[in-house]
Amino acid sequence: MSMRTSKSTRLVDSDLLIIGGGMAGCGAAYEARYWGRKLKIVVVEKANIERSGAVAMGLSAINCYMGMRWNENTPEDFVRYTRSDLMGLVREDLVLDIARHVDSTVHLFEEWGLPIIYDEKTGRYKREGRWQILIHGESYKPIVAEAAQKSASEIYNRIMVTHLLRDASDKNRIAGAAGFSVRDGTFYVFRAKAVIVSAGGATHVYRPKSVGEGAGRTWYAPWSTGSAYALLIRVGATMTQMENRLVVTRFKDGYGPVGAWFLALKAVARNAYGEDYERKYVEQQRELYGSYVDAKPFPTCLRNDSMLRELKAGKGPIYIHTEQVLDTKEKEELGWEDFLDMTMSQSIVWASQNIDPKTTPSELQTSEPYIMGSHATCSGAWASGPDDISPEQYKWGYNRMTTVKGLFGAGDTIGGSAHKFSSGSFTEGRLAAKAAVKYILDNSEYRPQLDNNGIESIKEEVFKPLENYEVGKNKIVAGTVSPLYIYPNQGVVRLEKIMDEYAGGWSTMYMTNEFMLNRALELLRFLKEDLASIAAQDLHQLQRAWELHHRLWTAEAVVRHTLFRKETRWPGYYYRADYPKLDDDNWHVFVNSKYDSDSNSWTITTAPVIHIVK
Amino acid sequence: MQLYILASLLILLISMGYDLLHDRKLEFMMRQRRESRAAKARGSIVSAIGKAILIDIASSSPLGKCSPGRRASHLLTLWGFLLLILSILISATGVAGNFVISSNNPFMIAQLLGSLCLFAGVVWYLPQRVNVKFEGNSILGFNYSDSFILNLLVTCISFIASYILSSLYFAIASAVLFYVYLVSITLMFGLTHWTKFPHSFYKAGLFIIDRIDRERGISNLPEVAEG
Amino acid sequence: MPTFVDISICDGCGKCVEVCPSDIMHIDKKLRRAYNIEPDYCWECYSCVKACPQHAIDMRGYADFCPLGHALTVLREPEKGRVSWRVKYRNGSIKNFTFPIRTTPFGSIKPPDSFPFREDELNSQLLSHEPEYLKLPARQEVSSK
Repeated sequence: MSMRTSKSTRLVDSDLLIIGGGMAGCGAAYEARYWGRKLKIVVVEKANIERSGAVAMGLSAINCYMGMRWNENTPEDFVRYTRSDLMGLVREDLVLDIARHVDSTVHLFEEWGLPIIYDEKTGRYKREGRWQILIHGESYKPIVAEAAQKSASEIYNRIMVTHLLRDASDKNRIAGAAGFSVRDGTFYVFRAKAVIVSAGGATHVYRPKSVGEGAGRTWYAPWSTGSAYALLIRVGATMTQMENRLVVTRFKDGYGPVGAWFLALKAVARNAYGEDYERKYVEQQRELYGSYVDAKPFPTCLRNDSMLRELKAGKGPIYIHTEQVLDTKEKEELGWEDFLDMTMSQSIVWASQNIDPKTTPSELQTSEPYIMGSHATCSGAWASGPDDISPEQYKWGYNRMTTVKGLFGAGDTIGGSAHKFSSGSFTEGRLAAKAAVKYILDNSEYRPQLDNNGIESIKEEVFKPLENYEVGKNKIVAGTVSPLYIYPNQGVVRLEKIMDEYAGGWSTMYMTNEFMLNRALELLRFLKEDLASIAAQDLHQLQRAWELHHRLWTAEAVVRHTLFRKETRWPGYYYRADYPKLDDDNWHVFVNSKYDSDSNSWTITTAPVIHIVK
Repeated sequence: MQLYILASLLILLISMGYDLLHDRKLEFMMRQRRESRAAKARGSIVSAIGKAILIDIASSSPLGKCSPGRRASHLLTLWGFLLLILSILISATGVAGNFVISSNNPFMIAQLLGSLCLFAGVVWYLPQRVNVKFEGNSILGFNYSDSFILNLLVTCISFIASYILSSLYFAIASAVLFYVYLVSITLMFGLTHWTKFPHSFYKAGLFIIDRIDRERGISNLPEVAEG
Repeated sequence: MPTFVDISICDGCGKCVEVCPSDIMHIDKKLRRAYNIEPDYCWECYSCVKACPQHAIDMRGYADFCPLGHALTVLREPEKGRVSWRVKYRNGSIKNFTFPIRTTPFGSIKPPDSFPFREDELNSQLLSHEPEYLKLPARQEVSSK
């Protein structure tokens, strides 16, 4: 384990700083170099860019591809689809912007060497579904990382960014970021004229369904720790749709993907009695949620809702009948590759429980909630849209810039922009980067001013958990129980319990109400205060400590937004038991929040949902 | 001298026996059965053993998969050490004559050469230690896993110093250091349970078993579908 | 299924420590070999398993829900552009699969600044390589309504 061997501070100057080297960050690096040939572009990544982020193990499909070259879809079609899947509430300008560019991203990937599967009969990409295409994606991330490595001036691996740094002369302007080396403890200060945050969404905010070793098997990556949200919230960026947490239905325990099974192989899900259930409750659903239930395809959250109703009626377990669709060797290979390219754990579930998909169905389950911006969900930063298609209320100069000057976001960071997945996140990185380069060139006289006193106190704060342990450990004989501190994992367990029990976790079948949410805020406040007493024995635990910090800020935003929205907009993601209906009259709006660090207070407002596509 | 060698070998045997029995390692090794996939064994046991000795052990080629530097420093260490031990063994049979650390005795020169190679190999290895290179530990830091290389350093440095002092006619100091050298080797043999020295035997055995398995078509790795 | 490292095979090369996205592959102080320090933060992404040049790392399904006796091993051959998997069931059945991973050599991506710079497009909505790489059929524009 790495102990802190360096007490020094290292200053890294740059024009553009990209925080997070996942899909979006790699897209940003590539595009930034294209437009900013002479700029110093620095990427900082808390792990290793080769396999970092949610696409570490690979993917078996690209879920956002229009196919405009073959007239398969239009960007407007995509906006309509995304809007209906999110029950009416998306930033249509941001979604349209992704859709009109994503095809060039996918074609670039193919040129770089990502094997895309072709349909021999049509000569086109083999469609998994209307928006999805199949790939041999085991090396998806290394390929994309290579593009970033060929683009960035410098890539810093194993540096965790803990704070963004505001300009000393303008509180609403970004000047850089601070963090530490996970290997030797050097304190890093990055100074930049513009910053793109592409640091991923959040897992382990809610208690996962498996709680031993199995806690590692979250559906979304355990190393997505809400850093994008926490970094932005603390410098006062406006956030949106933090209440729109995501619950996914996947293969049980292993969380294997269902896309290829449902869409390409046409498998069906039935209850334990072999009955269809998905449309069984549509009358009750229409009564509560209106005409959204008639959307085709059936919205993601409502599919969860049907399943939950069926389980509550005692008709579970729910099975996906793989055994009915694997009649050829090609289909069997497709089914296996679906897992082996991106969720090997599900293969291991099969192997360990003697489940051969050719003969035996598999159980499905709903997951615990996740907070992200790139999937069938869109929590994240409230961002400016593209000049040519965004209405006035949605733009303030530079595409994907947050409400803090010079601070941009891409991927899970950005809210309102659903169904991006990997290719859309990379595309959003490209969009943010081009705009950030423009911002840098437009502000060529600007020199970021760092506040040195502020930085010194951040440095102290960053390493405090190591201090807490070094000094505090003298109290006890041995072991993990101390009255003076808690370890990061103990803090995560407490956080997960608070959110699970009070803010719509799986143990209440995603139900919450005003009383529960207020109790969550009280308990989160205690935990936030206890952050000053986190102990870290080494640099690995220090990283875990800061991941807890970031998760906690994310959780607080989730609870505040959930409290504010007095309706149930996304049944199957969560339910407000005190406002069980969808209320378009009052709540066809975005819920936005802004945290002010000077007064330590949150301001929550609404913003209009403007439909630009019919 | 012959007594010293006999005693050291005995100590080595006892300590390796202790290492094998104390943690029930031997029992574990006997229990590990590996499944065979091939219908028929390819190749021969003899060629497997030969390949293991030449490719895996003598030229340390598996370490080349870590890095060229790891392989090169290990070759210096391995061959330096072997030269050292062989020289002691042969010199003790009385062939070499008198027992004086002098510049003319070829077995002393061999031990010097061995010590120099060993020293170079260990020093080259120090910054390549995985905890230094990848965990951010200081190069000057030494922990439990360094006991073997510290032992090697004491061995080769004491011989080199002894040789230099002998050539400068500091006979007593030279002799003292020569005894430190001998004791260091005996300690190495005796402390196998607590150091990484036994990897010399376990790894060698593993390479041989692995090559034999490969000849028999035994492997946990996937069968690759060509084309 | 968290990872485990075979004590006799691991050479302590550090490649798993270098690549692990979760920062959980570290070096044992006594043995100077790798091990998984935090299985409950192991996503079973197989990055370390694939990176290990000696094939010393393997996976054992999460004890929460995986009975013993199974194995999933991998052989990634980047220079041949393929990956192979071997699934071993608890009941002894074996399945082998091989899939392509890349159609071009690793390292062959052309840097973005090797392409001509279109300064006049800096203020447009077009991204790099556009509109060519959108591959739009003739007489169709990038949507801008």
